[in-house]
Amino acid sequence: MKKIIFLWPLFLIGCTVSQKIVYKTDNITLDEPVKTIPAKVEIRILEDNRANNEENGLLFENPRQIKRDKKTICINSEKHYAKDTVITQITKLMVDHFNQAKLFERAYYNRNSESDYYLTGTLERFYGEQQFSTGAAVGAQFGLIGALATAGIKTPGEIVIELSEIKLFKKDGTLVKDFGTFYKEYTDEFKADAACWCIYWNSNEMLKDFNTHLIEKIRNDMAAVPIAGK
Amino acid sequence: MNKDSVNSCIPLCRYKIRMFALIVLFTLPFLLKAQDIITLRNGKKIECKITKVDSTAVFYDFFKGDRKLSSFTALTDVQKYQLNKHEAGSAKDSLKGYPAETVVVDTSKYVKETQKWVNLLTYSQRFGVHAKGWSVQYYGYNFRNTAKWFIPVVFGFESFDIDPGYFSESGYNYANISYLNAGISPFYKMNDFLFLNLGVQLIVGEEELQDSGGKESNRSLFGISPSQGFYFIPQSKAGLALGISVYEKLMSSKVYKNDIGVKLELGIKF
Repeated sequence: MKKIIFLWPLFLIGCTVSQKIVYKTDNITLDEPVKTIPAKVEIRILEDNRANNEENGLLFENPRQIKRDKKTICINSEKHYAKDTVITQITKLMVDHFNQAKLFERAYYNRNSESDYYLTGTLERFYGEQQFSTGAAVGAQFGLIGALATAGIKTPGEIVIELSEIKLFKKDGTLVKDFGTFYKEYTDEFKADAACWCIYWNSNEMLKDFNTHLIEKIRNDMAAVPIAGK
Repeated sequence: MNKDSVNSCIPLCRYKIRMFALIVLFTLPFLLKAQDIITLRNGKKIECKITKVDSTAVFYDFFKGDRKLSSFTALTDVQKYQLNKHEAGSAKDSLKGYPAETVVVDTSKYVKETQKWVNLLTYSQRFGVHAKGWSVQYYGYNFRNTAKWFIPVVFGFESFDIDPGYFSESGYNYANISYLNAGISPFYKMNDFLFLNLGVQLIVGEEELQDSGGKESNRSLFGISPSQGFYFIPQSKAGLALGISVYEKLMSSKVYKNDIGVKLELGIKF
């Protein structure tokens, strides 16, 4: 009996499904030759300023399915991300994506002695919401057949990603380039499910698009900046 | 400052205010025109400074309140963009090759994805080797204009008369079979209104039997029924649908074990 009581917290942990911020980077291909910035760059773990922005309030105070203005919506509630890992997960993705896109000679996660520059940034928003799909909910009642029939259902939603204070420094702290704030509001129809997990996956997909364009912005802004490796 | 000096200042101040107002009035149109404008396909206009255009996106800077933000929009969402011809500079360097002040984006290849739930209620006449009859089916599916495959959920019921010769081989005097069928019936879009259909339905029901000795029994019944056919389904929101299919049945029945036949289907889309 004691063993059962001892193990009980493990069952409770199992009840909260943890969502990861991931997308595939190994399938990212470069359609045309790109100009790689000749710098080995640490991508420092982003600062997290989301909690200070009231527009993100919903994410921190609610479960993933909520009622707002008599409508049920799905949000990428913070409750389903492992605690304090949103910024580390996004930073790791940026590093992988930057390397795959050959943005810099080499990008490193957080700190690395091989680097000669470092990039900083602050995550202001990683916010997703979409209308709950009653169609998907009905489909879910019919098991696999219903799930198949309603697999393509989409609902209107909004995903906002904002990264501010994006700056490239030399290792000695000299500012090389201030890229400012990169912001994107995706207003579209997104894939929906009965359990409100899709909003997490949709947010990940949009993050991939966001990072793809962030890379192009950095590449474009750096075109006029003379830079040399160590 | 004495009263006289204050009085002499009033006309001068008024003159300065008038001059300032006139300058603002004349320069305002030019200041406004200094903005680039992106017109999206949904009609929304973004006043901004375009910083880059590539094969997939338009990059721009804009103000949200008093904050300067950089963003982008997919070229497929853009109807046209207007570059400020008065301003030459680094921002336009990446825009060389766009001589026109207003660039209209060719989005004719781009089809925006739409989706809608489609209902089909059909009546079928069935001509099987071992049984003939009719059936009523419901198909429901999510139609996406960009997709080739749709996977309707389908369920229905049917009534049939077993061929006497085939029935007599079973050794039973009487049988009453009732079942429901449900499954999926994927459609492959061949063109805007013609669909290839490859369905498979599960059969669940029961049969009451009476053998030659008069003994009655009840049995559960399971089976599977694949079908292959062609359907005409109109593009319009509502209309008549037609279908012709070949179907097969394999069941655990004692009297109706298998069948193969043709199904003619007529229904309504709504």
